[in-house]
Amino acid sequence: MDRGMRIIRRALATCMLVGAVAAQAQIPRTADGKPDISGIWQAVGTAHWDLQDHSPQPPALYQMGAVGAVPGGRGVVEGNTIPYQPWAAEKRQQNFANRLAEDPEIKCYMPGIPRATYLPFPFQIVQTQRDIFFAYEFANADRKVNMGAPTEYPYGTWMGWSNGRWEGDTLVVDVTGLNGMSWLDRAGNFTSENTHVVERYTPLDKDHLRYDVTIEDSTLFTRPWKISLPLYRRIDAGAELVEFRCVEFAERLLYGELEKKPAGAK
Amino acid sequence: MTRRFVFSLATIALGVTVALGTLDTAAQQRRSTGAASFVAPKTPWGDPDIQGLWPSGDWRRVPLQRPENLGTRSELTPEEFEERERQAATDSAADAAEFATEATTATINNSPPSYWQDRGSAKLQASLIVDPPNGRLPARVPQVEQRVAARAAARQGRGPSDSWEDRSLYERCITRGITSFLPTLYNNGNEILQSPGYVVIRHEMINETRIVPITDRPFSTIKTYMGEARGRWEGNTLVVETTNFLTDKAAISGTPTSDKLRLIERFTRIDAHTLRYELTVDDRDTWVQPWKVSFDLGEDPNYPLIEYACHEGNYAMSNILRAARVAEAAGQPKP
Amino acid sequence: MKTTTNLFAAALMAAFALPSLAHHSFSAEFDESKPITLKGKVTKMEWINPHSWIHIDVVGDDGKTVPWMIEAGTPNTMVRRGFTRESLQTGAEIVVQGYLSKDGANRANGFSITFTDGRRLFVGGSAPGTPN
Repeated sequence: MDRGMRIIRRALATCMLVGAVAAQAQIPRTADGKPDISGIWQAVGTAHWDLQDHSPQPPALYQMGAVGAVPGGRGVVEGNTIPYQPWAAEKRQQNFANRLAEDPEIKCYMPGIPRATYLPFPFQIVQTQRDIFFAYEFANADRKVNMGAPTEYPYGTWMGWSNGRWEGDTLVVDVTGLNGMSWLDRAGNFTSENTHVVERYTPLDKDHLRYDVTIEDSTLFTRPWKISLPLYRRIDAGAELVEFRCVEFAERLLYGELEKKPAGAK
Repeated sequence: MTRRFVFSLATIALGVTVALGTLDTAAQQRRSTGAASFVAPKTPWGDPDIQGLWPSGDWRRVPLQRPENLGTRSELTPEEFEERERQAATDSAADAAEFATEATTATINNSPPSYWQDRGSAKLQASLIVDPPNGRLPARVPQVEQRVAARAAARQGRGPSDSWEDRSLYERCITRGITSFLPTLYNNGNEILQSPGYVVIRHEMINETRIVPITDRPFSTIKTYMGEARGRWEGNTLVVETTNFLTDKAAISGTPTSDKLRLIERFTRIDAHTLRYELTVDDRDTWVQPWKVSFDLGEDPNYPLIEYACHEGNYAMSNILRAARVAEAAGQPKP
Repeated sequence: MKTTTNLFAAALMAAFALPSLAHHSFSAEFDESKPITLKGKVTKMEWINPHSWIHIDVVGDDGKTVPWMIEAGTPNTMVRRGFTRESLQTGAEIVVQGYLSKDGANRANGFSITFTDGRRLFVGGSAPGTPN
């Protein structure tokens, strides 16, 4: 029986290895042998609400009831700790307390990297012969990853400046030049113009990527820290990004006080 | 790892030299049919390759509509061309002047300084519209007047800045619309990228990304500002049909359009560094016949698209609304 | 304004049916009847779209320092010409000709922006005091 169990265990291990190899073999590739990660992808889960472990929370507006409430979820941060410096940890608390007024996502501002990846909206990767372009449904945001010799950009932008390279089957994207005005989630985790992000996209099989991100910023954090989550290919037939020009949904919030009041109103 | 500073002054100097070197004479500008020996490049998966940076600012001096006195003449006479060249040279000199003078403070618009613009070079082509043969917009159908009246009625009693909704979609940083290839003041960057099954058309202002699937999948019923696109290849030409536009605020060249609006664009690389762009606007509930724009875009590697985060920096909107409220409080006529 | 007696050129300009989109927001934001000339030291420049903004400190006749915001053009054009944030250094003194904001704030557009020696901002070679 003992020997039988060993045979069975070995058979299982071999099957899993073969399965893993088969999954690798399933990864579509471009003509030059690199993984082809073109397509429409989306994150699942609650990282966009809060990168760390969080319990369910009531809605910010009671009228939204269960639809506006925050689902609970496990964090995507390695070690579940974001190593803020003490002053930054306080700032994060303030951000959370003021999130309705302060969250740039609510204002329809471009989400920056990495937040754009795990928003509850799809994004599309268009992998050309050289550069790799990312189009995000949210707020029409986009960015192009330069796959040639790395270049630099003179000032901060919302979506940063991306230089990429392949390390084996992993796409490594080095993002600098972020303007520090984006947050990392709806819980007030934030960035500065010194924030440096390194993304890693690793195909697991043809429909799944693993997304690992290292975030470092010596003005905010005591050390670099990491998040990791899967990305799922949108396999529904005819999947497309549908325009989400949210400026119109944020205008009353941003300019409402400057609107002409009806005659007779205060 | 040291990095190349992507916009070094040396690179720019080189680019300016290259650009100046390509200013064509009138004879060279006669509408190119492309070199006979040109073989259109293909992507690794076999589609024609129309990728590149194709800014349209060079066409700023060519009006959308042809002056009526030119009739069906699609090109300028040498004398008329020289007039365009003279104007271009005058503007160039004013823009390049290191020191401010009275001449340099004369501007086409009041803000910003005129040298901030893409001026465009002199072109032989008389107008961007090439069909109808007189290079002018066709007549409008009667329904348009009702549409215009309806919009005017909706604005009855409203001032120009009562609300953000009274300002244009451009000022609100929502979109410049589907005709974003047409040249404008500045930030005329356009880029085309391809991967199997998709062509991506990007416009710098205002940060547009149009994803065109190469498919004959039927259109949905979802309406959006930039519409829904379907692409196909006809020989070396990409044909893009776009429909399903949000129409209640839509307008092309000042005319409100209808649900029937359908745009057909054609993109053809006619030589190594030239992309022919053709746009047909078809809306039988607005114009009695389709009209067509066509111009050739030169590739310019020194015009990469730069992020145009419009809404994020839109001080102008709050400034405009505040100005109107201040005027009202002071009992002044509306600005 | 440049004048021309050439009828064709005039007809061409009249036929230019593409809207010059910057015009709309200009007259709603700034007052063409209130030209202004300001001289001040740069405290910061926001390299943002749709317009960049130059912040300057203007010292009045009363000796008081008043901060002003000057609207300039899209940074994209200037970046493509090789200019950067460092091209306009904090402390540089500039002269602005423009029109006053309509809401009464210390804000103006700048249709002419030069250094004190008359050299135009972001044209041609380096400005005095800036690294090349």
